[in-house]
Amino acid sequence: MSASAPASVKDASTPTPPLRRGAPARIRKLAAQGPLFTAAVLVLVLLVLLAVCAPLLAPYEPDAIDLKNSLAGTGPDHWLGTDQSGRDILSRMLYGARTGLLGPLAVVGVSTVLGIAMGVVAAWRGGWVDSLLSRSMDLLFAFPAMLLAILCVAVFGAGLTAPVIAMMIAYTPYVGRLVRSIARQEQTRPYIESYRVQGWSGWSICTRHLIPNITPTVLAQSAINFGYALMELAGLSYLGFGVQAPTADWGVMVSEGQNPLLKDVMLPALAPATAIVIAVVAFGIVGEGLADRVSKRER
Amino acid sequence: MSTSTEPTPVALEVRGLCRTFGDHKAVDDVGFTLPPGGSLGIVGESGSGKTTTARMLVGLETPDAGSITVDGHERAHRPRTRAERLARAREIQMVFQDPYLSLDPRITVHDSIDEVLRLHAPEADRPGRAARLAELLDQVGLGTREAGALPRRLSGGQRQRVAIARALAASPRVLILDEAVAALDVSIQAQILDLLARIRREQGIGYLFVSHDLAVVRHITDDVVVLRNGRIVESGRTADVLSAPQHPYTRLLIDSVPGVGWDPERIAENRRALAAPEA
Amino acid sequence: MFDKTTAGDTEARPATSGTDTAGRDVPLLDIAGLTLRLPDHAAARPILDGVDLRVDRGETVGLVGESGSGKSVACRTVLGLLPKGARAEGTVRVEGTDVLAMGAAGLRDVRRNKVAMVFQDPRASVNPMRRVGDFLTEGLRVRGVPKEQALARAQELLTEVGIRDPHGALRRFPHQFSGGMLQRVVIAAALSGDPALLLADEPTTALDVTTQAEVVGILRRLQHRHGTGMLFVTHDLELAAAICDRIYVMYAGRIVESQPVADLFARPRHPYTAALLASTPRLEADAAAPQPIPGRPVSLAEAPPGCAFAARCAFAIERCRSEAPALVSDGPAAVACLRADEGILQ
Repeated sequence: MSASAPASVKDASTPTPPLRRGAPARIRKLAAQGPLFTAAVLVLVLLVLLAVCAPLLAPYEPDAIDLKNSLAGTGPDHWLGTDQSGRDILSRMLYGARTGLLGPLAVVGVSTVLGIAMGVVAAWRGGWVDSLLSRSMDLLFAFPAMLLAILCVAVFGAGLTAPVIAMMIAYTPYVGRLVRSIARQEQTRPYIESYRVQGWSGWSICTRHLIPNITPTVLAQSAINFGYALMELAGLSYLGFGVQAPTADWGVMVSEGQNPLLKDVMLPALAPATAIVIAVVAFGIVGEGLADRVSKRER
Repeated sequence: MSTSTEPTPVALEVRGLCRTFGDHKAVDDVGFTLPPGGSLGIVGESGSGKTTTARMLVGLETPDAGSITVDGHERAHRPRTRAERLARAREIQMVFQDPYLSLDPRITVHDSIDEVLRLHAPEADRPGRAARLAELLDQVGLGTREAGALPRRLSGGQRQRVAIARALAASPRVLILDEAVAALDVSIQAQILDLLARIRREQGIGYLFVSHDLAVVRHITDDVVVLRNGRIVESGRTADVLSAPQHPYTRLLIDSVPGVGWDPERIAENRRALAAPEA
Repeated sequence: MFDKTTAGDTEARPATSGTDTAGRDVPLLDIAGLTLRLPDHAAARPILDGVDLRVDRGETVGLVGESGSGKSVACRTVLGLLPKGARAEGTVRVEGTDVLAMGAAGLRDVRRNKVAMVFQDPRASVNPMRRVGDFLTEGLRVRGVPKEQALARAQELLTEVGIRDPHGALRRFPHQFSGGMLQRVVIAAALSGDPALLLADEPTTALDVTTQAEVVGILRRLQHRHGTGMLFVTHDLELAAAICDRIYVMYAGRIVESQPVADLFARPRHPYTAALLASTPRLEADAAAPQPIPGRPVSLAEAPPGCAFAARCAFAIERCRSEAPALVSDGPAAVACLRADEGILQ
């Protein structure tokens, strides 16, 4: 206990849990979030795998027309039946998953990156930079995403690109606003201030400490946004503004499945619609779960 | 102590420091000096301006008026260049109050000290840095086990040791301790006070000890400044001020510390008497 | 083991539920053998381990410990507030009735009419959107006091806690008060139901030193006037000494020592109490520098087999590390240390 013996005042080396965790521990921790979260993650993983492996898994070419087999029911040849043109629904679903996920991926990826950049710059610089960025985000907010998308289609023509660009623009202010508010809070925390006192530049503090620490919160929101983007893009395709008809896409498939619906054939429309619902719900659950984990970590 | 004109060496000199928030004068004409290797307590309650003063010293707030010099270098304005910024950081470092919020939760103890070394001594090679890092960890009583850990695996006392080691890594002339032991349990607080006293003895680093706790200030400082509503009400040798306070507010602060013969009713009366003429 | 060989001062405790408030010698608060366990994966040791504690009418009892000692948890169980997923053993009797065995209606009655609590952070315990008047009268209104009378009583209470212009204060919102003033409002609200027992969980920790003195003064004055028993939970031994009659010292979920205040300071019997006293910085001119206690408190993830303090104790012998000491009474004092009788602290 004497003052001159630092070793004696050293905190006792008590058994603390292992410092580095392996992959199994991570998976276990993920599962601790609850069975619903785990199931949603599994659904999304499966969805991505199916989309990636579509060419290997699909029993038919997605666009192979077989008019003799129009509206065939489920059976060993066509697990989910065929549509009006006799195309295999399962194959189209698998290929549809690719466009269905690729569009939102681009939207969410770009809007997250742009939003983080705008939000952090606004929060960190403050003053007129903040006002300028905040006002321009407000301006973007004023445009409904759908309207912007239709406008873009009018300019660039129908297809996946135009609505995706429109929605990148429409989603950025959502992320930007969220990032700005959490970054403003985060930058007053002593750990960020201590980096300023140490003499780091604003750039390195933001890129190495501020952004990595707010990213989990932003990613949780992005997962939820992913579901929304998927739904809105499918909606645009359904309306005919997005992916165009022959290409396999869930939105397009729902639209094409309307006619068979009138003849009491459900699957051509029901299958892609169900897929959309499952994907959107799964992204929502994952997003909520991630947000939960973030708030649990904060003490 | 602040008015002497003899050529006594001065590490930190603060003169006429002012800061206003809206129409509230948070800091009003505050000045003091700190000799090299000295320890000065800045004592006050919430709203006294002690934290704002500390934040101006390290550059987290910009003063409206006044000067802050370390070894004769003025630092009241914002740094312009990277070199200036780094030079500033080597003048004054700070340890914050809350050990749970002052470390990046994603960065291990080792890395959070190592990055300071890389920033301030880029010429040092890897083994040189490793040696300095081991020395710093040893100084604050942390082992290799803690070095590899993330902050959340550490107790409050251990985190505060990390914060001290990290501040020392920049080899500052002056270390500001802003309520640095206030959030710790007494038994751990005594460990950290012990550690701080030893570091000052061995390294001759100057302390500015910002605190509300007179008993702690008595054991860690040589001189003390008592702040109230942004102004200095009393200053002098810590032992003198605490044993023979001149200002009624200082007396009130001393009486308020719980202990034998503590009389809350009388304290309340004195407090009202002191507040009355201003209201 | 420990909770069955409990201390002697609980022997006077009525055997079972048969005794009601009729018996005068029924203590106001009697906690006996209280053990709280979290689910196995959450903690290696019980958060509370065989806690025995009593508060008599009008008495002020201090419960002192460092963070993680379980002092706040123990305090909350009196209101029937247990940590999530915790299993409780033992009894927590308020005026002879076990709170742990109560249903929702019984708990409501205890919280409304018998026991009130003041928390550390006044801002967190007051609804920021409601006027202070509503906050103060809601408890009275629930008990069926007419509105006019409740408002008059609220004003009276505010005057008692030293708030100038109590009439105007009723119409103000919490954010218009300073921390110290708001804590007075909280105290006024706590006393509005004339509770027999007041639980104060670090009520002054968030306040400035000079404000602390005032708030403690008010607490003490009101307590004397109303004859309220008080359990004062704090980490500050000096503060506890200044206002309590008796003090319990907790460490790692156990009571390690209890004594009347003067004796505790003059002759601490447990090495932890002695070390805690020595580590507290003192203002007096001739006081020695604070002596650190090596190591750190036992976390919930650790379950040392013997005395929880052994790893940090200067007097620990081999036996201390393997055998958990029971709390042994000796007159008004009780201590849980295997070497308490050896005079090690003299």
